[in-house]
Amino acid sequence: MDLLGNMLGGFAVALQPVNIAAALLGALVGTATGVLPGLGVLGAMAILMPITIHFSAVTGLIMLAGIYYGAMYGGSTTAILLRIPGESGSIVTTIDGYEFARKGRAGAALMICAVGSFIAGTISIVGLSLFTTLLADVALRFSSPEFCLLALLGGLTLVRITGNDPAQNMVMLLIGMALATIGVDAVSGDTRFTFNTSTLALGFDLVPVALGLYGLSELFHVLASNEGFPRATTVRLREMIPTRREWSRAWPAIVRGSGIGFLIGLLPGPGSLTSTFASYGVEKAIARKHRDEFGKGAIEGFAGPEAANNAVATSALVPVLSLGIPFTPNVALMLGALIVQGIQPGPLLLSQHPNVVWGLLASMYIGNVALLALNLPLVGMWVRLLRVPQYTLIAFIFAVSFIGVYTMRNSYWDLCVLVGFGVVGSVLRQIGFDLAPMILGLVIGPIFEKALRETLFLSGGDLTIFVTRPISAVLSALCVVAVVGPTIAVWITRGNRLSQQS
Amino acid sequence: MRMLVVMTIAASLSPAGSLAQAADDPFPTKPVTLTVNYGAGGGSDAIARALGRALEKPLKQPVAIENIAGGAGTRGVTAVVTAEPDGYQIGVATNSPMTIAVHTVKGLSWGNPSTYDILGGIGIVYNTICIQADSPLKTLDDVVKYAKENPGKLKVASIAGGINQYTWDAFAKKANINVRFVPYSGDADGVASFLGKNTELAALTWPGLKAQVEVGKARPLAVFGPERMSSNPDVPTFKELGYDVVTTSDYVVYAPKGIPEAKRRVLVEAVKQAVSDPDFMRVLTAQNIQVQFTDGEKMTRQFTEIFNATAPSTPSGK
Repeated sequence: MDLLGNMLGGFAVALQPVNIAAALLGALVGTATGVLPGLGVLGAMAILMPITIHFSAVTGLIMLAGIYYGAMYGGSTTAILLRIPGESGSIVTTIDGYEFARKGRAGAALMICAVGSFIAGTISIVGLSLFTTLLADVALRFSSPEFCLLALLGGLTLVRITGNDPAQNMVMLLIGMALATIGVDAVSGDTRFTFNTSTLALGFDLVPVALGLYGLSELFHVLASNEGFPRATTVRLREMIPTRREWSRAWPAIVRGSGIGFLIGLLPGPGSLTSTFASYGVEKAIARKHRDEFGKGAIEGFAGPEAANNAVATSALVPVLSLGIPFTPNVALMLGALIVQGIQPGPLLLSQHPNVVWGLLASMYIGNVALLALNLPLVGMWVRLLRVPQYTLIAFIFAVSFIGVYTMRNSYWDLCVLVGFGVVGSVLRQIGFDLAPMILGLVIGPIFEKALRETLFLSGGDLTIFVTRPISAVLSALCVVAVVGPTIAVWITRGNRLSQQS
Repeated sequence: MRMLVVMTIAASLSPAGSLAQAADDPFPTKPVTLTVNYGAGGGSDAIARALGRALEKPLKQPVAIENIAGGAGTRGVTAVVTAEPDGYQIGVATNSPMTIAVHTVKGLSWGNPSTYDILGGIGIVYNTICIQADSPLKTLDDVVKYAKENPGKLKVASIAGGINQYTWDAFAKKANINVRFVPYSGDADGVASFLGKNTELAALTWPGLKAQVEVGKARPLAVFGPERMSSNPDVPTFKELGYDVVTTSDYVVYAPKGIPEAKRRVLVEAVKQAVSDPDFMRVLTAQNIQVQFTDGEKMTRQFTEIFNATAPSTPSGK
């Protein structure tokens, strides 16, 4: 068994004391980063990157990976307790996770997320260990035309994920997409809509916008109303353990979320965010009995997405380990840790440095167990966090958010964006608009635009490329279904009703 | 971080520091800041960190790495060239922001290479054209012949607006061929598209493609370097094949204009030593960058040439 031998070799590396320590440190820093809003995964990885130089390549890589998947565990905490996403991958969790917590089940929600993250992490590592090379080849079949259609399909279907009018959501989506065009154009390198200023050329980064729209506006809301965060009156063990009925609803969503996240992680783009939206959309679409609960605290609405973002953190390693191609900044940073050590990333990494790859994979099994062990006891502590006086908590979150956003790229502009979108978010909430489609637009806008332009360059302006490639043809068909499907469904139900009446 | 820089500059302007610089003034007497124009973790960052450690030996002072990303790499350059020319603020960058993005990013306080001071080149990135390994077209001549007979049929994956497009355009003009140019936003995207067989050709950097050449997925036709690469002497140059197009991307160490000559000499000497540092060479070699010290004056001439050549024909609205 070649695989078994490789895996055992990996565990021999991962179980060295220094590497166990690296996995634990990474997991711990990752959890903290995830919990604290504004402090991004990328920032934390970048700050600790230089430390890795003093250790071997595999140790550095184990630590950086630990931060990445550790943050996905922590990100849900503030989303559930305070309706403030700790990471952009937890934005969706603010919808149902928070409502679930308001029913007095905050502890149970956190526990479901921790266990779900563990399951997703483990499923993905098994997938990664078994199929890395095969998956990389599949991922290469997706190119610009497919990305373009995936983004379009995402936009068309996900405008229906919240309870609001789809037309209203579509407007928010388009505003988000328009905002994303400001700054440096990814295709030509030209600056657009910047009024010749170098400040606007920085564009609207996802982190300050998301934190402003969700975090700051939530704080403004709490300050302006007397409602406050949900209060945890008692923290008894019974209330922290999900009931059997809750589990039976959570686990299928967790498994589906893991699968969705794993597939999305193979592709370029901010997978941790898009996968959570996709998982939420799927859960809502297939829900039969509990459909009305979505938006009001459906377990599937946060169990699935929180599993999805963890699966992404693992499967995003596939293109980088098998091809040497980094599709996200987080993974590019991990490549940097290899380069600094004088190791050349690429398709030969696996055969030239098997210890690095298998050691990393083995460490992720250990890291996920450690994170579960770390996060379960923390649940009680996080729930008690709600007992901290609100004036302290709010001031603290403000401070952390500002520090986090500033450290990202040392720019005052990002702080202006943070505050500006805090105000915009408050106003939009007051008048009843949903913020999720706007964030989604900001994320898929650049993917859609870039992929569309690349596709048209590739085909020389010929639009038939979207139906002549097999995968594209399927995706195009799905897009058509997404547009006309709901209308037809309405006609059918109306027709049925009419025929029943007559 | 910026505040810290401002504060150290202020400190250096205090009366003791501003007394006439005697030639034997000890320099440096405090940490030097090395700014890199991309975020932590990328290839440029790895080079900056390796360079910083290598510079600490001859300078005998700590070298702090500062990442200032954004503006297609121009923001970091702005931070360096607008700093006080006291020798304590230097930067490392490739020619891309300084010769190409400088034309497209608006509102910059600097311009052609005479507005800053290049201390020296430290590494050379070759540009190359590769073809699918299983293509029936074997040599560059085959490709040119096929492209002439089938205008617009071949596709090449490359990067828009940068040195890659500039190089490709120059070659296509010399060869008089019509190949569909498909621009991607970086090596990763371009290589992925090429590996997915969306294009027959890839006109990218040698570091971006070398790993794929090694596993037999890409076949190099030639490189645009002034001479063959020492690591791959079997790959010809375009020049020897009859297409006189020579371009490279160079990593340079630069500083604001006006550093006192004595201090400048110390810095240049330190850079020269750093380039031969084995750890530094290892980091660059892992990225398939040719390690080589090039004189600052020569680098400035080379930059000016590309700056002028790209100024009028910079693509816009693509």
